[in-house]
Amino acid sequence: MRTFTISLYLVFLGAAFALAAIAKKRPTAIAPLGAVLERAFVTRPARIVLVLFWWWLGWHFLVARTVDTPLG
Amino acid sequence: MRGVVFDASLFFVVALLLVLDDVGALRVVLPRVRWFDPIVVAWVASCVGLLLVFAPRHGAVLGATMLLLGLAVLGVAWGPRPILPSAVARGHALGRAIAWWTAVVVATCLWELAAFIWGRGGEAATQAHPAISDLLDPALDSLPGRLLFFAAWGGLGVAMLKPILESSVEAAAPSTKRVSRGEATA
Repeated sequence: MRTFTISLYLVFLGAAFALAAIAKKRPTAIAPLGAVLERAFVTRPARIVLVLFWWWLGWHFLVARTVDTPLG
Repeated sequence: MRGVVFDASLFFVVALLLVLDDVGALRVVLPRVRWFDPIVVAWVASCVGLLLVFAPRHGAVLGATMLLLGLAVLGVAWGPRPILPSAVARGHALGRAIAWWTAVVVATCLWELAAFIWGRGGEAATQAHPAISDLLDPALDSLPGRLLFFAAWGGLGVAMLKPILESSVEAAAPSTKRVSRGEATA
C-alpha cells in the first residue's frame, strides 16, 4: 500500500511537469503557468491565499514539526 | 504534535482580514514601494537564503526569519492590483490551463488528505499511508535535501512574487502611465 500511496504522489508530480512542458511547447493549447498566476493575481484574496500558502509550505517544512513526535 | 493550532489560527485570521477588507470594514494602509535597488534586493535575498538553508531546523533563528519573510511577502501581496501585462494568454488556452492545474492541485490535496487520515491509525498505518510531510521530513534534515527544497520552494516564491513586486513599484510611480486590469476591461 505504501508503494501505491507514493506512486500516486509521483503521478501528480509528473502531471505537473507534463503540464508545464506541454504549455511551453504549445502555449496556444495550454497557457503557461505564469499566465494562470497572472490571471489569479488580479484579485487580492487570490494573491493573498496563494502567497500565504507558499509561505506556509516553507514554515511547515522548515520551522514547524511536520511529523508527530512519539509520546514516549 | 503538529502545529495545527498555529496553522488554523493563521489561516483563520488572514481569512477574517480578507472578509473585513472585502466588506469595506478594514482599511490597511501599507507604505508604498516606490523603488527597489536590485543590488539591495539581491543582498537581502542572499542573506535570507543562507539563513533558510543553514540555520538549525525548527530553531528560533529560522522561525524569526520565516516570520519576517512572511510579513514582508504578505505586505507585498496586499498591495495594489497588478498592472495588466501586455500579452496575457486568454481564451481557451488559459481556461484549459486553469482547469488542468486546478485538477492536479485538488487531486494532490485530496490524496494527501486521504493518506493523512488513513495514516492516523498507528505506526503501521503511517507506514502504509505516508503523508507528504512524512516522506519529506527525513530528507530535510540533510543539507542536500534542504538545498533541493530551498531551490524548489524559493524558485516558486520568486516566480510568484516578482510580477507582484514589479507591478507594485510601477503602480506607486506617479509618472508611470499604466493600465490596470479593471481599467482596461471597463
